[in-house]
Amino acid sequence: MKYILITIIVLIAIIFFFLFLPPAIYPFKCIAFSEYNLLKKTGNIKFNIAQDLRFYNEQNGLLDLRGEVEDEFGGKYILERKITLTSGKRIDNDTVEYKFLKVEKGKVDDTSEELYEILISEFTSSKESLQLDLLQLRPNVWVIRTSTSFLMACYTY
Amino acid sequence: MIFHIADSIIFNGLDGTLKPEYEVEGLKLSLTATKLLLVLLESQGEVCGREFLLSAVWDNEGLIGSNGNLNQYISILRKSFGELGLSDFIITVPRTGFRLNNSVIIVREDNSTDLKPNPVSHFTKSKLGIYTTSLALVILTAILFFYKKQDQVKQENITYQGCNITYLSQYSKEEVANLNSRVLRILTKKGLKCDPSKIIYFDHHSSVNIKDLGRSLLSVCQKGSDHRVMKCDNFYYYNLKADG
Repeated sequence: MKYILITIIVLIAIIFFFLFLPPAIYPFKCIAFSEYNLLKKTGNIKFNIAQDLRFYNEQNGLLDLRGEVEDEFGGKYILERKITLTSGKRIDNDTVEYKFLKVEKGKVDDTSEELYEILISEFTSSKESLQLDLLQLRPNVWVIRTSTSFLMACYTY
Repeated sequence: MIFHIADSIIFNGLDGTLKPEYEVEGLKLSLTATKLLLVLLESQGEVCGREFLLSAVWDNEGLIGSNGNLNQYISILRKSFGELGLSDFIITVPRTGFRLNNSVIIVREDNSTDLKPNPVSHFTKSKLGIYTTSLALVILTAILFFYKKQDQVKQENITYQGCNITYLSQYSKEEVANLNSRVLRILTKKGLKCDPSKIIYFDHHSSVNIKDLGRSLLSVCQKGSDHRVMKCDNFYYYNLKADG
């Protein structure tokens, strides 16, 4: 009888843990280098950037984008944006959502807002929030997925 | 359990024997008398009401007891102790019940194992409970772990011309054959060579089939000396075919 009771209690605890509590992922800090080749009507726009994606906790995070941009006319620009994320929440086990609190432009950043918008639209379809799936591939390798496709593989640090 | 009563009598609650210390032969109590004596001994000199005794000795065992039965077995116990030279051990509390004489010293042996009737079965029973519990937990954990894993990416590893490519989506054989050559073309174009220190991930996402324009991701992750990934380079294409 004692063992049955213990079993029931532990089973309930395990079920609760697995089904109702999402796995701990915070703090999640992931770095990747990406070359984005985005073909628009006017031509190919290329972004060569380092991305630092940080979710400090469920509420707050940061997306740091640094690199260079080459537009369809061959113009080259520097990109340096720091996007502060807030009001985050776990949608489900894999998915997190954060709101953009502010976007800080670096002093050397001379990329137009139009080009920046083209890049950030690959991350999110909304101007106000970021919703990403975080999927683990290996112990320290994750792939980030947007609502449309896989975006990048990054390694946690 | 064994009780040493008044330094002169040993009562074995498991087999119901009542015998003088240092002697082999003794009395054998009936099951009901044994149970009744055990209840009185467990009460440690406190008064046991008639209702309590009837409930503990008869009702709980699925038997029907009465005051007459209780008096009868009390009498048997008194007679048994009397034969062993211990009188006035069980005292009647008028209109209440019975208690043991507090002046009689009772020592209980809790750790006696030699006289337990079936120590093996007791051991097996408790072990069985532990094993059953553990097995149930392991099975449930495995099921839930597998259930959770369903959310993760389904990775499909392909080795093509010495290149180990991991696809992040499920493709048909024809699609994989086509994508393999695309992946190699991109790697060549970017000046990257396949080697065991590199992990290559690829995915192509399009609306109808992979020949359409869509979004492609090629990731090349570099492993360090400790086999942990230390760098990931991504090549992302939108509205371009994967081979650029």
